[in-house]
Amino acid sequence: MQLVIFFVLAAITTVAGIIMVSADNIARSIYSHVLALLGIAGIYLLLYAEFMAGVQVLVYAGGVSIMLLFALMLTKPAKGVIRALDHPRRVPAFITAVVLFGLLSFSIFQAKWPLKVEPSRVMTPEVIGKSMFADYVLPFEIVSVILLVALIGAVVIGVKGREDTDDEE
Amino acid sequence: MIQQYLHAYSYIAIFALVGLLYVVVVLTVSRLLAPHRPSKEKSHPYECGLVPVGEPWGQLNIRYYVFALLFVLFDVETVFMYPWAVVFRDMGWSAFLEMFSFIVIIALGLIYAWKKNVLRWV
Amino acid sequence: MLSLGSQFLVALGMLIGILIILLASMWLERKALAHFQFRLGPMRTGYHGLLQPIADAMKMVVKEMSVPEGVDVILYKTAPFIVFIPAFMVMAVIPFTATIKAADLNMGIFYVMAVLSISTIGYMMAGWSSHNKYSLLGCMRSIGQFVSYELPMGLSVLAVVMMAGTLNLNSIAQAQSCNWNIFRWYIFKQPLAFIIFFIALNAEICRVPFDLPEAESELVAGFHVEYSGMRFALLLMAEYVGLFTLTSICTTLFLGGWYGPPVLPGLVWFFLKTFSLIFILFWTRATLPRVRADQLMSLGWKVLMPAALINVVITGLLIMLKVY
Repeated sequence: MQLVIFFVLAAITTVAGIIMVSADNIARSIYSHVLALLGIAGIYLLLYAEFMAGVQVLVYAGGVSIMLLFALMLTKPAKGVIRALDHPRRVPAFITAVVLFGLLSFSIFQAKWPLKVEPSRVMTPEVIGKSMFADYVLPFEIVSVILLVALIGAVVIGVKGREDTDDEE
Repeated sequence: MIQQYLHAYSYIAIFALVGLLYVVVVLTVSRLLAPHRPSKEKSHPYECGLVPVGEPWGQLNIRYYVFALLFVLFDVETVFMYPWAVVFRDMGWSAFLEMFSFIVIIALGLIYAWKKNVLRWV
Repeated sequence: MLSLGSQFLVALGMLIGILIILLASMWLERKALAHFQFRLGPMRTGYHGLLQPIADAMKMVVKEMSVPEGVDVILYKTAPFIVFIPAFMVMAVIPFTATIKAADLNMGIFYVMAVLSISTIGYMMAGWSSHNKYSLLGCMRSIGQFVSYELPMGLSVLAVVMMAGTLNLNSIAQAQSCNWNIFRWYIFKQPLAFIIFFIALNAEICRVPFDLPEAESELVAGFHVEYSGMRFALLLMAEYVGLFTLTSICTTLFLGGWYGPPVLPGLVWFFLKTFSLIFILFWTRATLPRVRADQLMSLGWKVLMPAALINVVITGLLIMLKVY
């Protein structure tokens, strides 16, 4: 049963991913991106990582895709279709993609994954919280600094954007 | 534990399915009952009865984008606080102080955005 | 533990339940607004217009679903699904009583926040695909509003999670169990969090005074200008489903869920509290004018957000000092 669900979710994710890169309508591409992210959230659920699935939906499907849609509104697309994205150098792009795919799958198969996860253990928020503040204190504090840096970057973009554009709504 | 987990999430899947079925059913019923007579006037985009001027898919102001950017960043920060909120009662002062410094850093970011007038709408 | 078949029946029951609640709250809203304005409201269909929402629903079903020219047809037709289904999926985790509930999720409240953010994508889809200036402005505003109020909402929920030490909605309600001592409800221990949550809730479901996305005097109807017939009805229903589910979440988080003085059964307490909150929302609608866009943003980012952060810190301190 779980295997069947996994293959359904994997199929949804893959198809949505293919639509995402091949659609020449940016809005549709963003929405299939959302679908792919939801498929991944489903796979997280199958791995008993419910909190990760929630984060995936909240931050990626909810937050990041809203950001992408707003970025789309910043451009001036004719009916959402951007031909300029369709770059003529297809052959080098294809070769790069194949090489990258090969490298990634090679390293995935080579890597020694820690397969000692007890199947009876659900990754509840309690487990995550305990390990976050017991074993991963330093990474956590570094994350806060990185987020602050990103925030300052966002503010700088905002200040620049305000100078550049006239008010139009 | 696992049983309870699977039971809970099969509910979620079934709720999604029932919602989907409901939407499909009402749309089908409506398709069967409602008339379908498209005409040129009816299919005009609505613009208070006038012929639409210009292209609606235009360019919008960057301030929306900046707010979305800030939202994503603060959202990530809130997400970190949830596992903490669940366990910090048992973890003692150290966990509280770690999160306190985290919140101070968030607050610094908010104050910076405020001072740079990015939070101003007009 | 129920089998898949009985789970399906429970979900179906919840669907029928929410449809009845929806019709009831539509009727209640029209009546309440009318009486606030010294009118009678619907009177003709049934006793005091009780059948009016059913008549409206039947009218919706038999109206044409016209698709205007120039829309992005796939997205335009998918949007009602993406708006309605997540709104309904929130129903799965609401604990009506200790026994009447569907899914008992460990991350209950977090699930609610996550699913609500998918609804937003649906609004964006509806507004953008409609190929209409009003729709586009409406959906941009609704996303801007969501973005600004989601954070204070999440932070005010966080204060409750800190008090209860769990994300599970059922356990949060049980942490407020009481007989006559209703001061165990979190509204008395977390008044600031309640106020922030309630304002943010009002903004997230886009009701007056935060109805900028649908401001009928400037944007006609916002993101659903181009929708008609059943598709429009689905968008409207999703709004009322959201009204009920979010107020129920508010009841569970702050008003002790189904717990109350043992003069009434738990389910009655739950609906009494939820519908009181809904009534307060109608009352607000009848009383306050719409806020301006800049006021909306500055309320979210400059008032509610810092207040919620300070509230989290104070709650943490009080818990560490064993006051709570």
